[in-house]
Amino acid sequence: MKMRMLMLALLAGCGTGAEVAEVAMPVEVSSNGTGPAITDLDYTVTVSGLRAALADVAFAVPGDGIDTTQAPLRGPGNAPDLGHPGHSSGGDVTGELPGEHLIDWMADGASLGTATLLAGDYAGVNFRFRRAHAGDGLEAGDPLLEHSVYIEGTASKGGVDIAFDAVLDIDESYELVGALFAHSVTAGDPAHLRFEIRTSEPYEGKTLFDGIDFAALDANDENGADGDGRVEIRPGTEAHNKLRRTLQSHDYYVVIAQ
Amino acid sequence: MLLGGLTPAVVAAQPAIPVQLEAPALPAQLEAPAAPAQPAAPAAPAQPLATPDEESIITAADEIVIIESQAPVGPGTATSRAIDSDTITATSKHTADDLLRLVPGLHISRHGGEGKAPQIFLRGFDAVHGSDIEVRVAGIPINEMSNVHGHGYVDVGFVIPEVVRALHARKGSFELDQGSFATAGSLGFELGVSGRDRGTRVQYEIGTTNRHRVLGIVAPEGQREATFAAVEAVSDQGFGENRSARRVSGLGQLRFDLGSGLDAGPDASRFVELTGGVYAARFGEPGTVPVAAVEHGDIDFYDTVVDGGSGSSYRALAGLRLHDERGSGRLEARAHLGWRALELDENFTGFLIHPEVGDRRAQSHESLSGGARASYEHDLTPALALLAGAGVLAERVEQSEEQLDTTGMAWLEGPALSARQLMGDVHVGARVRPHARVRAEAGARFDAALIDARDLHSDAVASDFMTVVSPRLTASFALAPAWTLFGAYGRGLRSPEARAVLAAATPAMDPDQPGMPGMPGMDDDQRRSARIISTDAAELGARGRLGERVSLGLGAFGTWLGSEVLFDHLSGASLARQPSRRLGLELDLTYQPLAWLSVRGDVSAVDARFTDTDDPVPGAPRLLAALAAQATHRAGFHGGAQLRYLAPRPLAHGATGSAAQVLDLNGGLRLGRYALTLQIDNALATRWREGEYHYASWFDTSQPRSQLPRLHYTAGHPFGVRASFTAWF
Repeated sequence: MKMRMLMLALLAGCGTGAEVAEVAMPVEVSSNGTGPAITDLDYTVTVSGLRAALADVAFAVPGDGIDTTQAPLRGPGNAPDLGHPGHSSGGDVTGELPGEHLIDWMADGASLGTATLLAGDYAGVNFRFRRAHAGDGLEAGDPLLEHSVYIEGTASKGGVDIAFDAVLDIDESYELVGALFAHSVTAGDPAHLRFEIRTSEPYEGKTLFDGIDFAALDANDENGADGDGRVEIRPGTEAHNKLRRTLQSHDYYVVIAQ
Repeated sequence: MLLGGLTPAVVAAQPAIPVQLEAPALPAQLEAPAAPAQPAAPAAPAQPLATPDEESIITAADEIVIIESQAPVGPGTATSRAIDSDTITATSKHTADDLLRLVPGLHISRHGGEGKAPQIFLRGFDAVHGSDIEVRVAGIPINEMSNVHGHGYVDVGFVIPEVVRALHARKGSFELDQGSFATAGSLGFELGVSGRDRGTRVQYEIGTTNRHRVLGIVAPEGQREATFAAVEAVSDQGFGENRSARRVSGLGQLRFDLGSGLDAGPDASRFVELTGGVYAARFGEPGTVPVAAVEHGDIDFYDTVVDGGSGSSYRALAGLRLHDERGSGRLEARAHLGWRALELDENFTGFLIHPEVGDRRAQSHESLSGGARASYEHDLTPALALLAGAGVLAERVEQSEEQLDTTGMAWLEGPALSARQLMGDVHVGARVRPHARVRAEAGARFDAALIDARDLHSDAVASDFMTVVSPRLTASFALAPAWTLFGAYGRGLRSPEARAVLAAATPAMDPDQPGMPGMPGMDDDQRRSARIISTDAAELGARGRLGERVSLGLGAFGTWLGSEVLFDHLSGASLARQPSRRLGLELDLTYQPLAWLSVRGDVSAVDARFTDTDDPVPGAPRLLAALAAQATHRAGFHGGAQLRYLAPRPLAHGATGSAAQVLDLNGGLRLGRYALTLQIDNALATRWREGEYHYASWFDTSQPRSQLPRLHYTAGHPFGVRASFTAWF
């Protein structure tokens, strides 16, 4: 279709250029990936709550970019510079779900709004974590308030259940790049998009909670009584850093067109 | 007059008859001395492959024609061109950049003011500011390795168009002397002042953009065309907004014949040539304009959405050339020194990346370069010559970037580095003529690059050494007295830039550091990404004459580029670009109904695609056509008309650019010691988009921020008139 249009334009010998068709696609939450996960330390983690504050969800075509976060020559402010006229670097963002979003990944089907995508073949989705605020409709005392991610669940091993909740802070300047979104968007595409987090990633079988020894945390609980079967993971701890690092891996996210 | 390489300059008072050349006229090379006009086969005596002086005198019944040229010595290719001074004189131009448009199939677009290097497209390559086109001026390499704004940045703004004696264009990378950046082709500016324009002259030009240009040229009569001194000063408000330009340029060259001194004598087989130049320019940077802003009536077509963009460019260069022909050997040796400084203050994205303070960015680059090269040819027999050459190019660079706020104050440091870059090359080959109809030149060159780079913020250092071997072959077969077939194969190369070397050597950030986001490190392949890029190209073509008055050329070419890793200086990322291929056709025709009148047309069609996805290479023009008429009468009249057509081209993300057709007119009359010239730019007054892009920006902050890419453009020159008056002393 595109070639036919280009040939017509060539033959006509005139024309003012042509934009790419824009397609509106509804986006909703998918909870399909939040099932129990067996960690590398043999914990079976069952998530009962998983919420995150995100912004700037963007959809990208297949990329030439190796990793736009790898920029050792950036100045001390670590500022990216993505704008330039005409020199397509690939991995370009050609779709977006603008604005801020508070995602409850247990609320399957919850609407996140309508994304606008240019017709084309897509390969990835990018987004930023942010700090939740009162404008997100959170009540005072909500554990997610002023943080990026809140997770609660149970880690089971050897018949012992340890309840946990984690409050995570992720740098707002960090952009997660290259989560999977493989779809060819065409003009009038009727598909809607489902945004999913996976507690286990399908590539190497790793889980969000790998490396976290819940029993050891319970035995030396910095935020509560030792051995009470309850763990709180908070910023500034090694467990927090491990969990944050895996949450920042694009392997655990996917957008599926249905 | 364009005869593919030899440019007869008629000096006799009698009506001149163009010299009958053994078809086809051979294309020109950048540095080779001239070849004589070939006598018609088969009566000609055996000619050595070597070529004598620059000037040859041929007498006919009652006219004398002096041929002055830098013609080729090898077979060349069907698509190589030598654009002579008559054509240049009859072409409407503001700067030497405009001369590039005379090369069939070459398109330039500016996203900066007059003074910033244009973006160049050739044979399906978006050469950015010169990354795929090797450019030399008087044999001095002009591409700037690791320039902060673009690797291979080419700025010929210092070249004064009136002292360009010829522009040699070689498409592809088929000849042994073509070096780094010649992946799409090579351009060579040959400097000098032709016979009838010699003397001392002063010119004043005024234009409708409040343009004022003063030019002075001293080119003593009786001395070589290569000897001259020229000074130019320009002040131009430019069209639309923020396109003002001011520059001063001085350029000079002195040829000293080792046998007969400065006097122009017929024996010019041994000479030394000194070239020098200084240049300073300041210019506005209008940036690009979102198409939607114009369509919504927010701004006019020629307006800008950027406040305060500007640039400055400085240069000093000196070159030395030695040419020595004795017996069966020919030596060509060159050396040069150069200093460059470039500063740019631009904003292409508005407030997209830094909503609070804007995306305005300042870039600064300074370099000191020097080099030398020598080539030697030796005729073993009339049918065999051996070729050898070597060169070295050294460049020391210091560059930095910083983000500026809306008032122009720096608020964020960007990358900064210093680097030393050394390129060396050796080539060997042979030129054969096994038969009167067959010529061939084959060989290989070995290129090596050594790059040492240091990050001025972190003090990280990196060094890399890399080599590549590039075979080259050209051949021609004289099918008939008036027709010749050409074939060529070659491997082109492009050196990496210093930032890529530094980025490849930087280890991954430690993901276990508290507070640091986990970032994957580069894998081994990515770390080895800094390497010399190679392209493989082939071309078949034919050139000949249809009767006495029509010359025709046809070429088919292909260029293949494997996956390459480029350091994108604007995203700060190493980019793995997919393998690509370019297939194209070029056709040119020249009709000369009268000795002083010619009409030429050319069409270039290219299909450039990434081979994995079959997606088109964005930005590269698919179809370019030009039609030009040129008159140069010995009575003193000259005139020209150039109509250019650019077909819609694919842009990034599936968008399509617009078509453009532009007509420039030029006419002048010289009576005795005075001349008057009128140039009309864009006589059809079309609103055309010289540059077109598809990317995201956010200039209108009253609207929601969007990351979706949309059409942007840079405006081509509107209707304008310039008049100049010249006096010879």
